[in-house]
Amino acid sequence: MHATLKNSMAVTQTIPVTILSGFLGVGKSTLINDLLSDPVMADTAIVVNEFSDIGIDHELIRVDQREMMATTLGCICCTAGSDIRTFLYELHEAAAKDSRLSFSRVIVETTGLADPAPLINQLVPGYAPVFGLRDHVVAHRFRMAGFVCAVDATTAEKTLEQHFECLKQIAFADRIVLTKTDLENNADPDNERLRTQIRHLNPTADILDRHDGAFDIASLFQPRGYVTAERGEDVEGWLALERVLAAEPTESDAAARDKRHGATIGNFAFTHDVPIASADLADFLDVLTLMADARLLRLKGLVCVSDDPERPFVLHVVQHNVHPPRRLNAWPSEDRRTRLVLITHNLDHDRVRNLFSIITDVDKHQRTRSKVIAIAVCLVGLITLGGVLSIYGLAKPGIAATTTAPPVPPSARNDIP
Amino acid sequence: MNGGFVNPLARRRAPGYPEAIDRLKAATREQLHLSNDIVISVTELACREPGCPDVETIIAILTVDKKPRMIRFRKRIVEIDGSELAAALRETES
Repeated sequence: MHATLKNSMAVTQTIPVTILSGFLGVGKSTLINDLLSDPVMADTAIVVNEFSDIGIDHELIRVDQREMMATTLGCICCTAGSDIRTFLYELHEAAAKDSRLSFSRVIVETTGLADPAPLINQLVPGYAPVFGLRDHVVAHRFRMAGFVCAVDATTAEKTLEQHFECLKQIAFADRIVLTKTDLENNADPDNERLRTQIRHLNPTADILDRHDGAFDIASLFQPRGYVTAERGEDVEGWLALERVLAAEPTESDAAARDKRHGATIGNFAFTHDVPIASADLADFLDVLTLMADARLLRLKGLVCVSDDPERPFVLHVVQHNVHPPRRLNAWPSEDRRTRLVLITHNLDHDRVRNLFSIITDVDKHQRTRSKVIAIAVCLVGLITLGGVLSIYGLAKPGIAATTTAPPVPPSARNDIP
Repeated sequence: MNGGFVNPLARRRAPGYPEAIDRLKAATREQLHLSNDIVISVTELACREPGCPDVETIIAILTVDKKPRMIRFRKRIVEIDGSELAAALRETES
């Protein structure tokens, strides 16, 4: 008998797997950090999924020797194969080979763009075909034990208007945690409107406030049963439809992965070897957010700053919200380059790279001139847009008047010189 | 109460996904005379066929022990209007 299978069979209890989902920038990694600081969460294995070619989240999550962490790149829901099963199997294998790596629970942090349906189909027994040893081991050793969705109280309404993934993530959750409820730019301080909106999408999930005095993060991730039938008709329908679509012949796996979120949503990352002045970093963020507006969904990064290169800044930009950079006491790994990851919607990546180069690479005189030009271009664009909107608003009654005016009689036309 | 500045040039709030999904489901149920025990699922996916637009909406009518009926639109959920839904449903009935 296969050695690792033998070892796995010696363990009788299944290991609970909890999904942590939520749209881009809602604060999932912050929740994981809070969770891991709780001693109750020792022996937790974390799977962090990033929608990018360069991983950063794994460096932003503090992991000590008690926890294990695996990082996956690319969106876990996009992969046509059962990658979540592969990750769980690999965790199981690692623990079977080395008892110091044993764990008693797993938390999977999905990318903010994840569609939960393929993921849940892979984890709930009987929902997706089981192939080979890997799938059998996973099916016997792991069980779905909850779906937590984090919702940013300051951006949820707009995100729900524009991104179907956000709606799906909320609908699949059995527990929803509202984040950033303490921020001053929250236009709905009691979150009543948001709660009503969530209730409409998911009538049965518990809704918790991250900044409520009674909030207990360990209980949020307490393993429990996850029954898809309790999540409502929409969830059952999406799971069933996903199974039907998964059985359809598709183009290549790679192409399907690239297209799952549409060609307009993309990610790109870049690195920079030279420390950056704090003022230049601020300028870059100012101009970028002005230039990109809603096309920038998310930016995160580690930045080597020239005034103290040993203590990098952690950057988080969520749509139009630039969170104050947080300074780390030290680099989380040997890699001390500046690394930025952006997730965008219809944004020209070369323009962003050029902007970064202009602001960080050229001499001061040229840089100042370039910044002025970049800001001026953005302002001209905004003014032009405002002008077009104004003309459009003023032109409408005129058009209506022209079409409803009586025809000019021929005699009157003859009077015109 | 929010007494803040109201931008007269601000975009009017567009109907979002929740409203659009409810609208599509209700119209489908009404036009096809579907009973409440039949599940209608509305989802938005990247189109899997080469040459398609990058987003596709699927309205699926899921009946126990029957192959799902699927109506596909090459656009986002929020972009489907009542007349094109009605036309597509008529086509499935014919």
